[in-house]
Amino acid sequence: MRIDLSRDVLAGNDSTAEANQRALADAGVLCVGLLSSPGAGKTTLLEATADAWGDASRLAVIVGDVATEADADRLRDKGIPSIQINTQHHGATCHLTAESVTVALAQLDLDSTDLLFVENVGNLVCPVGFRLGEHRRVVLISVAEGADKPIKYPKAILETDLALVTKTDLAPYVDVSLESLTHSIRQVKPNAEILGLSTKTGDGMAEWVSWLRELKAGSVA
Amino acid sequence: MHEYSIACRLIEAVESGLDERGVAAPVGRVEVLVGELSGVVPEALELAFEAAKTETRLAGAELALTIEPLVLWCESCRREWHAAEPFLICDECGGTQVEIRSGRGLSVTGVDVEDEQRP
Ligand SMILES: Nc1nc2c(ncn2[C@@H]2O[C@H](COP(=O)(O)OP(=O)(O)OP(=O)(O)O)[C@@H](O)[C@H]2O)c(=O)[nH]1
Ligand SMILES: [Mg+2]
Ligand SMILES: [Zn+2]
Repeated sequence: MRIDLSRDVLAGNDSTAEANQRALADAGVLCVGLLSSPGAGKTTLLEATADAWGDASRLAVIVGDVATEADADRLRDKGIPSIQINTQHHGATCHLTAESVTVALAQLDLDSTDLLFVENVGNLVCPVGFRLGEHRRVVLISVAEGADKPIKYPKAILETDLALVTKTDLAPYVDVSLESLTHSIRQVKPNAEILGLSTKTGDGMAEWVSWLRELKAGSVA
Repeated sequence: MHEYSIACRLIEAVESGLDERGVAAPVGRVEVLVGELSGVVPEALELAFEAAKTETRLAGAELALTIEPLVLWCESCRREWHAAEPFLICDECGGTQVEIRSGRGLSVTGVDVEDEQRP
């Protein structure tokens, strides 16, 4: 006997993500997700953002890695309350899930948080389809990865709101520039919003921080 | 390899859908629509499903996958086409008012279950 069943496979994750997003908005917390391949500079960016933000204790981070507390420890050293999720204990090692974020949210003091970052597991493929409750999603692509990454991983560009080209200080050594990466990002999404930065030199940090501040001042949360 | 976690969610989706209908019989076949832009590799999903289905009521089930094509739409040309890549630029006019019409989907559309009242 055939039974008609029309069910989105990710509906369960999506509805948990929506609940996370609502809970965060109700608490007045803006949530920004960070996606990238391993080592594009997510944690370093958050460390630099802590310095630039003013009061690091008003920030919070939920960070996913397969193993170790290393990233959360780095962020706590900067004064940011941080929760580490080790995905090896959550069934799906290559990405965070909305459910794992719900558990982490319960361990944060949302009332004293203005801005929450969720740093996903380094991976440009698997995390893309799993919404977590972010108000905005940012993809980081470092110049050292090569200018063709956006067209090879187009979904990561399509399903995010800002593309951050990182490690621009390395551009002269790797024959990739902010311009060549911008070109390749726009091959996928012509009207993509793009910023370039280097945490090493500080170039572009002011623009990144004002992107965050404008979002925070806006109506999102 | 997120297909394993996708396969587990697919099984949960089928189980909860059948529970809601009060159907307890084992599942023989699951119809799944996989978008070309869903981020799921069909062969990997089939493999992952084999591993994930054991000790569930889908243990004897097979997947019947249908591919949902990636279709883009150009607002200027008022035309849609089957695109090889999800690049939001019209391949005829070069315009950028392009949207994704289909191809993102990942859903269960139906299942075959064994008949419950057997003599
Ligand atoms: N030259 C240069 N190096 C950088 C920059 N940002 C980060 N790095 C270096 O890149 C390496 C990886 O940085 P992380 O911040 O740990 O990267 P990540 O994306 O958090 O890595 P995972 O969490 O493991 O995916 C470190 O050695 C950083 O020092 C930059 O702007 N310029
Ligand atoms: Mg990190
Ligand atoms: Zn056109």
